[in-house]
Amino acid sequence: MNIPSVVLGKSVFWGLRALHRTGSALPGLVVEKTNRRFLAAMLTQLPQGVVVVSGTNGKTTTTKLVTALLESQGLRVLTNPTGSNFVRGTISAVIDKATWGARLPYDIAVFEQDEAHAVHFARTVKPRGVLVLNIMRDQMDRFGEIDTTLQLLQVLALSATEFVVLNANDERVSRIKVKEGVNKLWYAHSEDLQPDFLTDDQLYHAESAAYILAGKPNAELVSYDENSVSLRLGVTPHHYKFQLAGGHNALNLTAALTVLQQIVPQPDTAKLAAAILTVEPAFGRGETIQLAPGNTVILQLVKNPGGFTQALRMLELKSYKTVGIAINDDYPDGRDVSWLWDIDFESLQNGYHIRCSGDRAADMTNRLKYDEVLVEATEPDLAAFANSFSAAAGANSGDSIIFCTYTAMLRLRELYLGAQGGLDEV
Amino acid sequence: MKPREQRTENREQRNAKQALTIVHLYPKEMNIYGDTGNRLALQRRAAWRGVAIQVKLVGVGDSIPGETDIIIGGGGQDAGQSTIQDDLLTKAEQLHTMAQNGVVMLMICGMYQLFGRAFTTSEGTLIKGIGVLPLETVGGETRMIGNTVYDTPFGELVGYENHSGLTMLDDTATALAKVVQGDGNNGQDGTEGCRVNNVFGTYSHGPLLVKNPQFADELLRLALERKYGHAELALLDDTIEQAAHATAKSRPR
Repeated sequence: MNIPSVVLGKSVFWGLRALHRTGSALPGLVVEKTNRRFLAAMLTQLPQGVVVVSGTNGKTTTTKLVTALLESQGLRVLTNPTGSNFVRGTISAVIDKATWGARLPYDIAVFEQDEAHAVHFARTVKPRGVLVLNIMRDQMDRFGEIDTTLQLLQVLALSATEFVVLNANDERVSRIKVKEGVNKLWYAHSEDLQPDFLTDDQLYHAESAAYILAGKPNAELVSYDENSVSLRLGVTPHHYKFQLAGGHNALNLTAALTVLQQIVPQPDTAKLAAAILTVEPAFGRGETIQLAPGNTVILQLVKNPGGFTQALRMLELKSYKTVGIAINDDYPDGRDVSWLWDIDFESLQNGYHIRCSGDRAADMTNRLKYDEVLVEATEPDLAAFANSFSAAAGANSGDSIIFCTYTAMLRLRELYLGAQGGLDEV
Repeated sequence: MKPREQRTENREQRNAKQALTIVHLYPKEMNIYGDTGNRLALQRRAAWRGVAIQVKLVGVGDSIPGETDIIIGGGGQDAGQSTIQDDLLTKAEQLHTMAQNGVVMLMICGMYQLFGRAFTTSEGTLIKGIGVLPLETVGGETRMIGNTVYDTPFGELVGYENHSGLTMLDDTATALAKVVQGDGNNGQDGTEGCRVNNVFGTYSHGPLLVKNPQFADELLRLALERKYGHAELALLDDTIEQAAHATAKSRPR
C-alpha cells in the first residue's frame, strides 16, 4: 500500500520546508526504512518504464539531456533533481512528484544513479533501459578500485529488460555484458576526434592513445564546435545547434540521442532540434553566471582526473582569459587531493590569468608550479576569492571560467546567486 | 647539418654539469594515487638546478637500464598488483644489486609492500615480494585512510595514506619515520615506512615529494653523491611547497 508512504514522505518534505532546510534525501530515507517495496511498486505505474543513466562523468548532464529529448516528443518524464543520485534521493523525487493518492502522472522515468548505489537500485527496480557513459578513476577513497566500479555497473546493466546503451570508445564499458534478448546499443565519437577523448587507461599511458571502437555505433559524434554538433544516427548525418560547452557534452548528447532512438524511433525532428538548441546546463556543470553587466563566468564542476582533463579542453573552443580553480577536500569532494597530480595542466602555461581558491588552494597552486604555470592569486577563502575573481574577470575582459570541486561549486553558486541546495544531507 | 632542436639539446647536455636517469616502474599498473607527482617533483627540482634528467617508463616486460640513478614506484589496484607480480620477481636480482650499490629508490604503498618479503592477502593468498626491504605485510580488515604527518631525520613529512595491509618491520629494520598523525605501517607500533641503504618505502602518497621538498632534495642529493661524489643543489624558493605542506597538515584526518 503506497498511499501512507506518500503521505509520510510528503509530510517530511513539508517539515523540512517549514524549517527552511534544503536537501532531498530525508523523505526518501524515511520511506525507504518503512516500506522497502515502495519504489518498485510506484514505478510499475509508468507505461514506458524506467531508464537509468550511470558512469563516472556526465551523469547529471546526460540525464537532463535524455529528459529534454523525451519531453520534446510529448512524453511526461519523471526525473531526479540534480545531484540526488542515491536511491533515497530517487525515492524522494517519486514522493515529491506523486499525487496524494500515490499516482504518478508520468509516462516514463529517467534517473541518474551513482555507480555504487545503482546496484541497490537494480535490486528493487528492473529498468527498461540502462545507459553507461564511462568508467574512470574517481575518489579512490570512496570506491576503492576502478575495476570495482565496472562490476557495480555490470550488475546494473544485467538488470535492464529491453536495452543497454554503451560507450564504444571506453574499453572498460565495452566489457559490460547484457542479458540474452536485451538489445545492446553503442554510441561513439569518430576516429578523427580521438585526441579530444582519452579513456582512463590512456590518461595514464598517453603514448598508447589508440582509437578504440568496441562495436558498430548506433550514434556517432563526427565533429563539434562552440555552438553546434554534427553526428550520425545510423547512417544519416544530423547537424544540431547546441549550447552546452565542450566535447564531453557533445558526446553526452550523442549518448542521449541513442536512448531516444530506442524509445521514440521516429521523433519529430523540428521539435527535437528545438529541444537540443534550448537545453541548458545542469547547475554547476558549465553553468553561466552573470557577475556584472557584460561580465559572465562559467562554473564547471570537476571531480576526477578524467573529468578535469576533458573540462580543460573547453579552453580550446573559446578564448577564456581569467581562469579560476577552486579545490575543496570535504567528503563529497574526496578528502584525498592527490588526483590533481594526474592531470596535465601545461596547456595553461600561456595566455591565462589564473587564480586558485578552496581549502586546497595551496595544493593547486603548487600543482601548477610543477607544470610551470604561473598563478596570479591564491586565496583559500571562497568568499574573498569570489569578489576578487569578479574584479579580475572584469578588468581582464573576455570570458572567464572557474573549475571547481563539488562543495566549492555549491559555495560559489551561493555566493554569486544566493542559491542553496544540491547536497544529499543525510 | 643537424636540426636546430637537436643541436640545442646537445649543447644543453654538454653544459649540464650533472645528469640523472629516473625510472618510473610500472607507471601504467601501479599508479593510482598521483604517483606521477613524485616523478614530476624529482624531474623539475633537478631541472631547476640545471641537472639534466632523463625519465624512463619501465613496464611489464621492459628492462631497467643499467645506468639508472633513481627508481620510483607507486600504489596499484589489486588487478595491477597481480599483473606486475611475476614481472617484478624477474627483476628481483637486479633490484637487489642496485639497492646494495646505493641506487635511490622510493616505493609507495603497493610497491612498498612488494619490496618486502611477502604479502598475505586477507583471503590468505601469499604474494611473494622481492625482499629488498626487511618486512612482511598481511591484509587487514579495515582500511587505514586519511591525512598523515610523520617525523623523520629529514624533517616533517605530510601525506595521505590509503591501505588495508598491515606491515611489520623486522626487529633490526630502520623505519623511515615516526607517526605523528595517522596509522603508518600497521596502526600499532608508531612506525611508518622503511629504509635500507638508499631504498625508501612508505604508505604515504599525497604525492609525497611535492609537499615535502626537502625529502625530494634528499633523494636527489643521495643520487648525485653516489654518481659524482658530490652534489650541487642550489636553494630553491619553496614558499609555495611550504604553503601546501602547511595546508595538508592543517586538514582533518
